[in-house]
Amino acid sequence: MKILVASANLVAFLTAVYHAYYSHKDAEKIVSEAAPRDFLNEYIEVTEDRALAKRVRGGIIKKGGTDFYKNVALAYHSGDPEKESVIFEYLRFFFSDGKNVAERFYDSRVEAFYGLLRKVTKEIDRLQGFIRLQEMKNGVYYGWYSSDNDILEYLAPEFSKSFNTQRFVLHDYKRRKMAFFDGTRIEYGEAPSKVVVELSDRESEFQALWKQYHKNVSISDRENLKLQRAFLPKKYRHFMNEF
Amino acid sequence: MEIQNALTFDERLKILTEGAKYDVSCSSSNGGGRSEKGAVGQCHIAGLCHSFTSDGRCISLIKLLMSNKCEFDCLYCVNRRSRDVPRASMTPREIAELVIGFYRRNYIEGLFLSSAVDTSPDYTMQKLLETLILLRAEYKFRAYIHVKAIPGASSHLVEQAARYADRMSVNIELPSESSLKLLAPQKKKDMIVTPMKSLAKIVGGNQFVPRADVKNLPAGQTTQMIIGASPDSDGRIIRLSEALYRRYLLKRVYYSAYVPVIESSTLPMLPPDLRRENRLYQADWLLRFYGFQAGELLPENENLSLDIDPKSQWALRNLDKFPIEVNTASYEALLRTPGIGVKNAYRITLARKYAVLKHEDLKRLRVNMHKASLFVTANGVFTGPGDKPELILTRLKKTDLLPSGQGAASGYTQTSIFDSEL
Repeated sequence: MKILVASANLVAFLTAVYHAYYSHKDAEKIVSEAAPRDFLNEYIEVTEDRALAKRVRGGIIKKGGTDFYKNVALAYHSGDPEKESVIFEYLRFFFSDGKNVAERFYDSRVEAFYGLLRKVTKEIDRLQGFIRLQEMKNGVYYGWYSSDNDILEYLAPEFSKSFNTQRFVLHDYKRRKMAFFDGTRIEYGEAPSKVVVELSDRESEFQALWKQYHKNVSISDRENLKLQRAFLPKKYRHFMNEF
Repeated sequence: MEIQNALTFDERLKILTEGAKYDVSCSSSNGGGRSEKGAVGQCHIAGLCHSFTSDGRCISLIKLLMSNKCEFDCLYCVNRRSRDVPRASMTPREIAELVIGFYRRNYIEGLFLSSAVDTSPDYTMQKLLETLILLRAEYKFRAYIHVKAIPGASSHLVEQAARYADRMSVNIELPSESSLKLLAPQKKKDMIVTPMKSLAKIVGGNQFVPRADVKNLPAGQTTQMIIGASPDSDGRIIRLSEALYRRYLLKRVYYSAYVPVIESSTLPMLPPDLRRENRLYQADWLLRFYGFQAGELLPENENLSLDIDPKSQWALRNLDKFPIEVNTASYEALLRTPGIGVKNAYRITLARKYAVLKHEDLKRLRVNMHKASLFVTANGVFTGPGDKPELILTRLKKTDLLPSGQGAASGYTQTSIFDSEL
């Protein structure tokens, strides 16, 4: 089996999709460069190409509309190691049968695609609420998190709307990425290996009030830690100061 | 006032949180605030949860009483006048500073502000209104605000508050006038119904569709009932909810299982089975989103079964309507089938345009087949036991997701639909 190998970004993936339709029509699968390889298959490394990726993007939008493309891009931000192959299968189905594949929920390719999408959107929703911002001495607010999916570029615009009178930094700790909002624009960059956060004088007071509030608003007669864990998995708690 | 001076801000926050936490409404969806240059915050259409309490509830809003000094002596209430508890209050400025500080740190989506009836209903409502105006005008706060209409407050104050709030609520607390007389002697039915009527006028029609463009009360009005503090049956409660949705255009009715925090000979000693609260919510959803009427769900003087969900209870009484064929059944009939939710029903109507759906397809559509397979055929294939109610009931009980309840039946007999047939 011929397999295309794309590096870990959307442009490279879309370039690979292009090659699967034009230069390597017999390619059956797209995988990420991190995926394990075996001797049975032929692996072809794809060099990312903005122009080709743009053509694929244009093709998807023309046939499926902007929202359809947005979902494809969103699913690509999944942390699932199989995502390239799942999205490629879905796109092949789409190119052969049209945009209504999005409504064929009974198909296993569609089911797998929605599986990715559901996990990404769920984590975006959760982290919009779970990330804690801390006020630093220089007046900038700092919030770090670690997530299963690569969602910084979805979180930062939402935060810029909620906190448009604040300057803030969002820090994806695991992927070492940062977004900085200066009050007008968002800039993305690599996070330094060591981040020093000097908190403002009143910050610890607010954190203490919040901790106290979180504790007091619980109804101890109805304690249900299992339910709490279902809604707020432990993996997120280490960046939330109330835990 | 002497007490207040002696307490630190932390201590007052603790008291005012303790006093507000039994109000279960914490939704932050459908607010009207949009992000705006120079203004603080926005509302998310679907709302957001910022944390979860150890009892498993979402924290979306900071829930506060402005004051817990109460003129009323409602037996079930932690803040009742005759109770010897520390009293505290916060000024509008203190509340605003706290809300802004919490919001900027992404702890909350907004504010849920309530109050005991301090001095008089109008005095309290006036103070709540001042807080809202301060937040909206001076702090330019655009995020979510839910504020209580104080029972007995003048209509003009209530209506004014509605101009600044995303949602307002007046708590019914007790599902019948006789229970109200017994347990909340100073609260008269009119004191609750009058502000509700004013709010209904502001909300207008069609409260269940998103109305974020609406200027006043985009998230509508809600209420809360305490379950298990009085002997009112589920049948009566659900009928009351239905009337509230129709007549006063409520967006939501919240149900709160009574937590016995106060000893009184008129109140039950034990909390109700928590499953009862859950079954009521399920029935409530059937009224609002599934096209059911209260009369179809249960007789007025009965309670919902705790063992299986209310839709399954209905289906068991109406076995002649089943099984339905998923490939041809109407959307309405799909909605009435156990195991199929609003999203499932919609997805079925889309997906069946392209293929004849089979059992395994329904699983991929995320239909709960443990329940649905008892009531549907897919491509003509039926795997349920058919016209054998006892067998269906056994299988439904086995797959029900609710753990058996904590608490006890609190002295009121819980009748199930099957008891009444014996």
